[in-house]
Amino acid sequence: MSTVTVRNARTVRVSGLTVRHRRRTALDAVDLDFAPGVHGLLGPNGAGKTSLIRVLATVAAPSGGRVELLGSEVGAVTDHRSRSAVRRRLGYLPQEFGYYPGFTVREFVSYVAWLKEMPAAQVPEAVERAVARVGLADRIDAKVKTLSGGMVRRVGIAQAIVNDPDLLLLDEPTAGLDPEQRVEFRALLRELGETSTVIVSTHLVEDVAAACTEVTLVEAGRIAYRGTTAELTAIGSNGADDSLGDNSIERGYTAALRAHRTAVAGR
Amino acid sequence: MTDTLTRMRDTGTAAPRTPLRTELRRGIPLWTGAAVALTLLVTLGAKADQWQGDWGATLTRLTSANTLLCGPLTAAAACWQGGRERRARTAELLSGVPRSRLRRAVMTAAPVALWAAAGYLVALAVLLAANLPYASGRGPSLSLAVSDSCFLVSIALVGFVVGRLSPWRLTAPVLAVCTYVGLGIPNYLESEARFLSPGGRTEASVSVPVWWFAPVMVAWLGGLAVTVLLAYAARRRFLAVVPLALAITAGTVVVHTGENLFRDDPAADRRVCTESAPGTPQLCMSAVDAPLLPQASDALKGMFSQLDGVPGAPATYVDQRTDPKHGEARLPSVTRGWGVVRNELTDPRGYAYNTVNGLLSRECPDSARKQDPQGFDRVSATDRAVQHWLAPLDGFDLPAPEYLTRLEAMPKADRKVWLGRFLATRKSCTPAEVPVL
Repeated sequence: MSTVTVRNARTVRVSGLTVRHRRRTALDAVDLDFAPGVHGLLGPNGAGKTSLIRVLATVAAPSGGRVELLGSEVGAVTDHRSRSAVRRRLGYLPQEFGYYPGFTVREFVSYVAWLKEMPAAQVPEAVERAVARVGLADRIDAKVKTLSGGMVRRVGIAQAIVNDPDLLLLDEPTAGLDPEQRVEFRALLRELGETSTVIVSTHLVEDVAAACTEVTLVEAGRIAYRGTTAELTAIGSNGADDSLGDNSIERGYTAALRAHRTAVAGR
Repeated sequence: MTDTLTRMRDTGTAAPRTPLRTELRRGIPLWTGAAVALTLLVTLGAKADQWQGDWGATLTRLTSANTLLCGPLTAAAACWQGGRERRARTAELLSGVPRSRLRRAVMTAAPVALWAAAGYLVALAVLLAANLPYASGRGPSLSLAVSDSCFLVSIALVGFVVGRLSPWRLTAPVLAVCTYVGLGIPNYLESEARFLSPGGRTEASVSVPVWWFAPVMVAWLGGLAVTVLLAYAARRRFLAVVPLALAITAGTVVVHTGENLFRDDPAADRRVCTESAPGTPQLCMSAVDAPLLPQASDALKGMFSQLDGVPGAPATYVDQRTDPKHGEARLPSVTRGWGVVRNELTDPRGYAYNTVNGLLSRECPDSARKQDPQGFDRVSATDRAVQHWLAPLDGFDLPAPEYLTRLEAMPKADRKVWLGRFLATRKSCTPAEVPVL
């Protein structure tokens, strides 16, 4: 009974979230919540996905609204201690992942573990585990600058999961990964989603279909659709026009997006 | 992936990579230390003749090179390190971690500061070892070494903050130039404020810092650096006023004390003399130059032999820091790199010539010369003949042959009597008093 309660607990609650970049509104009074599991964040370029991820990663402050992560409010100017406590339980892979090229994989991931204030005694084993989970165990002592683009992306994922985060935020995590690596990565996502809340922002609808249990569609700073992956696939399967996509979930994505646009235009 | 993880556990976990250890091994910090050591060793090595044998001269030159060359170098390296997050595009990742901005800044800046200080200490150790076989008197002043190390650490912290605030690639070289100019200007100031710069001190060859020099400079330089760091990175920035107050207090003490930050070197004031013996006058030098005494005695042996038994010949020769008393004469000044290299007189005949030149030099006003020009011509010719007879220097300041011939032709006993009369008037500006040769 208690396990069910934990699974259904909302780890992310967002209400009235507004993000503005100068005059442009990236997110417009968005209300959202997420529970443990793997959540896909889909939407066209400039829809506001990265803005949402950055606010949830406590990297950017919202212009308005309320953000509660893992039971603590971390909005604009909040208590320093509670924000630090939340950050210790966060994992974040930015869209543009930066790294120190002269560090080895082990050194870089250990460095991030230190930044996340992990207990020093746990770091060596946690680093090796994270690196192994992304399939880079044989390159753990290689300098990051010697790795391919896909491998560097996997280093990014390793640093995000080194602290076994309760909330994992991944912005375009599969960019640069080859098909085999993407398949392995999807399996890793499913594994992580069993205990954590994983939010994946991506352009790749097939990643969502394979790894995510729930989908949130963002369009022009607003939520266009929310539902399970199965429900979105069903929209694409039930007589949708073939020109909307090559498979059911692509058709479902396009259909849901157009339905939202129509609804907005009709207001 | 699980198999791989199991294999890794079987082979044991590698030694933990602490962030400081990683930062110390990677990137520009290690090269900064090497560059500091190399800069100091090359700069001072090129002029080893001028400091080997004198602890004070060694540290003065080391401090000067450290301030003017390693200061800008360290500032630029730290600035480059400060701009690392922008170049590596890690700012986004770092802005979402719980580790405080101050601790992150210290962790990133510390390796440059530590390696720069280590490079300085390596150079210091090598230079002191190179000095050991030749130097005498007091040992090296550790106050200057502490102050210099603190200077490098401080300028590294300031340079780092500049790099964080302006993370562009050109900032580092521009900062190096600005630092060089800023640290060089105090050398041209007369104000006591020049002592605020580590390179703005007096000649440490003849002076040593007071005992509280190191703590006050650490408070001044370190206080400023910590102020800048806290103002940039601390969550409670008002805490920066604490090191600022400390720095201002220490800086005020430095400016008010001025030259008195350095006192006369007791070793430079302490006289060391040779034992006097019949026919050999006593030589006295500062304890710093004492290793030169045997060389000087050898160089002056011929002159002493010529003056042996001459009435009124000086019984003691003292160095330039001592006013000669009655019956004493001055030795020429010794400057390392010019005439003295590693406690060796490079030109013993020149040393003897200069000693006699000092003994016979008449400081007469022009008015006296105008009153009796012919008389002065005779005295001058006589002086040159005696100079040459006591300490000849080939092809230089040659006397009129007839004067030298007359002096050489004198019977030995008569010459001693004549020289006694001559030496009695060696400072006279009245030609009639100087005996005719």
